[in-house]
Amino acid sequence: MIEINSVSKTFEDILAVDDVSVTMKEDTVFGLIGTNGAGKSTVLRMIAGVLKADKGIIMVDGLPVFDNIKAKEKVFFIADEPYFFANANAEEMEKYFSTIYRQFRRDDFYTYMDNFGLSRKRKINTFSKGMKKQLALLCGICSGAKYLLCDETFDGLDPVMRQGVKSIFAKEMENWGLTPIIASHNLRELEDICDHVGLLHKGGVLLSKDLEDMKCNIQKVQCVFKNAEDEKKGLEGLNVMKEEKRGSLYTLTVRGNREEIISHFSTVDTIFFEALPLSLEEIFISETEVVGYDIKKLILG
Amino acid sequence: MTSKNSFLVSMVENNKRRNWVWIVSMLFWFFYYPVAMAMIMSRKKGHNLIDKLTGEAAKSRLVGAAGDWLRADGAVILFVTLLAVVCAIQGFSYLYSRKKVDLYHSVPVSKTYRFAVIYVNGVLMFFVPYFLNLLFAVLVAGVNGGMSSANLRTAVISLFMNLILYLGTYGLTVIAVMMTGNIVITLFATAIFLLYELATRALFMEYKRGFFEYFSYNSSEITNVVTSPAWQHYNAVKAIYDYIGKVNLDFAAAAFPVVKCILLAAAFGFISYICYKRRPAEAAGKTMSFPKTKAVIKILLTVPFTLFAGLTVREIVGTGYEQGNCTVLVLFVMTAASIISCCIIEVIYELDIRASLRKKYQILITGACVAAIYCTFQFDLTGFDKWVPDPEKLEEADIIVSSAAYRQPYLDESLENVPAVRHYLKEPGITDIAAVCELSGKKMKRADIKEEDSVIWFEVAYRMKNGKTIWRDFAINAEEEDILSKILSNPEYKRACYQIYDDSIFNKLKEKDSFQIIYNAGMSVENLSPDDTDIIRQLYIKDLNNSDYTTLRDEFICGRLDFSVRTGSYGYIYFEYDIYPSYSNIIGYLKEKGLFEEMAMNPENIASVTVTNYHNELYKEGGGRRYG
Repeated sequence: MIEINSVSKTFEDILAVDDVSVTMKEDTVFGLIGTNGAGKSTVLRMIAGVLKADKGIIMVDGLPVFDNIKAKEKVFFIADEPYFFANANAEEMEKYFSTIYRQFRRDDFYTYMDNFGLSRKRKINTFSKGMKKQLALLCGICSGAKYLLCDETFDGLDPVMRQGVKSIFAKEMENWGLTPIIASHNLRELEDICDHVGLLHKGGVLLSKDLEDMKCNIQKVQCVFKNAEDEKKGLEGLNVMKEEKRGSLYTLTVRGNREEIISHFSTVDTIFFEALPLSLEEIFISETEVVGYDIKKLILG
Repeated sequence: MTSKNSFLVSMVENNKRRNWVWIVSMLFWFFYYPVAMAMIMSRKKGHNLIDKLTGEAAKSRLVGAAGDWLRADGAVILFVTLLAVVCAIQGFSYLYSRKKVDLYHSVPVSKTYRFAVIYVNGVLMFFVPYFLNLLFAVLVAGVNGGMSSANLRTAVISLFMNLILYLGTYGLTVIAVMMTGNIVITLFATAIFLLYELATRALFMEYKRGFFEYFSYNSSEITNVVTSPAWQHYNAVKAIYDYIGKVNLDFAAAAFPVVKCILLAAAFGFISYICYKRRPAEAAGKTMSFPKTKAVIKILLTVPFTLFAGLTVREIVGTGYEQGNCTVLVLFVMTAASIISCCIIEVIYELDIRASLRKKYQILITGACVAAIYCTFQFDLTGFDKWVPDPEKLEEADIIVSSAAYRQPYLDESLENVPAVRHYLKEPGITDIAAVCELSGKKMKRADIKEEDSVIWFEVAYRMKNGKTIWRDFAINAEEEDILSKILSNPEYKRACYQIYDDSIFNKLKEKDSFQIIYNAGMSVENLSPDDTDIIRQLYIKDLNNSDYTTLRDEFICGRLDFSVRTGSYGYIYFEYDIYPSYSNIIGYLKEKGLFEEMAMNPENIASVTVTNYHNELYKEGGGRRYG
């Protein structure tokens, strides 16, 4: 488990991270989202032990991470622009990481390389941006580190490759207990992969919740009531977070689990009723609006 | 805990990315040592053939040439320094790049371990190629008959001392890398670190010279530079060879500069490690790594720069007595210099021209510091010129009469030429404290010296009982016969001034084949027998003992004794000793040999007389004056 307790970081006069406290559990995929400049990279770099927090502490499995080899062995950081040695090829990078990460799985690395169609001997500086990210991901996945910190790593991967990486994550999580922590400014990118999401804004954590909890507790309902009486009855007793009406079609975002809501509407006479799953974006819009933020401005611009 | 094996693996991994430095180092030392040694040996063998030298003489030439080359000074010092700078910057330059820092600092390697790997590799990049090629050069010299135990010792000394020099410069450059965030600023910082103390000491020395009446260059603190590895290296190497050459037999005195050199290198290494540990990763790409040091470094640069600007203007505009009249201009230039320097440094810090006038209070601090320092010199707040020796605290004094000291050479025990000041400091000083204090009391201010005055310039080293040496230069009016006689007749003064008193030196000189004694009567030159060296010396010393200030002042030189010898490094060295008419003993000897000639010209021998006026009337009209 990675625990971030009241961590702040300032770059000269700029407060990049302000009193952030987040817990990242094992065996989950943690999504760290936020706008550009929200402090995602800074948080990841602090978790990786690159930056030292001005205030607060970051613990990886109970160990403070800064300049602590034992803690760092559990973490592999993939920067938004991963660095590879000048004129090096994949084999040379593997050799370097093998000397540093004792649990590095060379066989798996080369298997993945072949599966991804990446050349072992080709100089990395001739790779495309996406290929470099794939290579960095494979190095991280095979490093044997428990926590894989990915800073905007999916940005630049094509959809097929993104799916491939997601399935590797799933496999690695199951086989090796990998815990990916993915920072991105793109909600849609993280939607189908994250179990837990933390939203950073202006250096602080706006919210941090399990996606499943959020999904289970918020439902989107579209319905057309038969008459005004049913309409009144249908809307009564619901924790409606958001309500939209176009003609006679209601679109409601309602807090509560799916069964309860379906059961509630079964007592009401409707012409049309449908309970739909919410996208991550919609969940965030709803959740943040509750705490007074306009998420569309924060995340979607 | 990291095993030795993994340390080696890490070193190998680190070296993979530093191959080109290894290649440069290896190539330079290869050409400098074995290749050049082979060429030298071949050339010297050729010379032996031409000169038909065989046996010991031929070997001696080869050994001498090999020894000179193995000593490795001059260009080698420069290359060692350059290599240290390159290795330090190349090794730690990853700190300039955020991408690289993200990789290196996120992997499970402790900062201490990483520092050790890079640092040690940087040292090996110098040491391994140097050692291998030196070994190869020794073999080449050995095969060609150019090796001796002394040469082997020279090789070991050069290896050791150049390693220390490398470590010092390397450590200092690593500190510069740690303090800065990009390569251009690092190069600036390295140059500043290497030269700052030297330049600042030189600046303050020039201030003392410019503002103080009795300043002496001999007191120059430039020679006390602490932070320059090259300077310390020079002193240490000199101390070693002085000890080996038996110039200085005090082992502690010989070892101290070497220990200083080692301690300096160790201190720089330690400071660079501390800086590395504390350097924030976010400093990559920025001008300065530690924001808190910005203001201090700025002030440390702007103050000397402003003082330098002020002094330069004072020297250019205010020559001679006009210096007092250029105060307004000096103040204006110093104000401008402090503002401009503060602005430039702020622009460099922020990499933004619009930042030039930020932190204006730092301009004020610079101004205040400059004003304080300038006033200290202008109004002699330290009492430099007011100082007079306290007889109670004075142990002895070395008195140098410039006109006598700088017209003759001084040799050390190994018959190497040494500067006059060094020679005087080695000799016992004058213990007639009352005379020394009286002399000091008669010193003249420059402004009081009139054109028609005849003055004698003195450089005096007051050796205090607390171990300190205080230097003062001043002029004494030639009419002060009393005190001048006391000083110039003093046996301790004479012994220091005239090396003819030194039996040990002259015993060594007369053993040399090239040793000659020449009697120069102006119109004719005669060789005297070296067999008579002791007699000639004793007679001359007897005359010298009888001479005093009035001899020098009132008598005309009527001849000269030249003792000459060929020394290794300086060609021929001449000791020239004047003969005055009252020197009856030596004149008696010369007369006895039938060599003495009156230095009087027979008018019949004069074909023509040319008179040239070297005195420039325009110069005189301009109010210029000459001293000395």
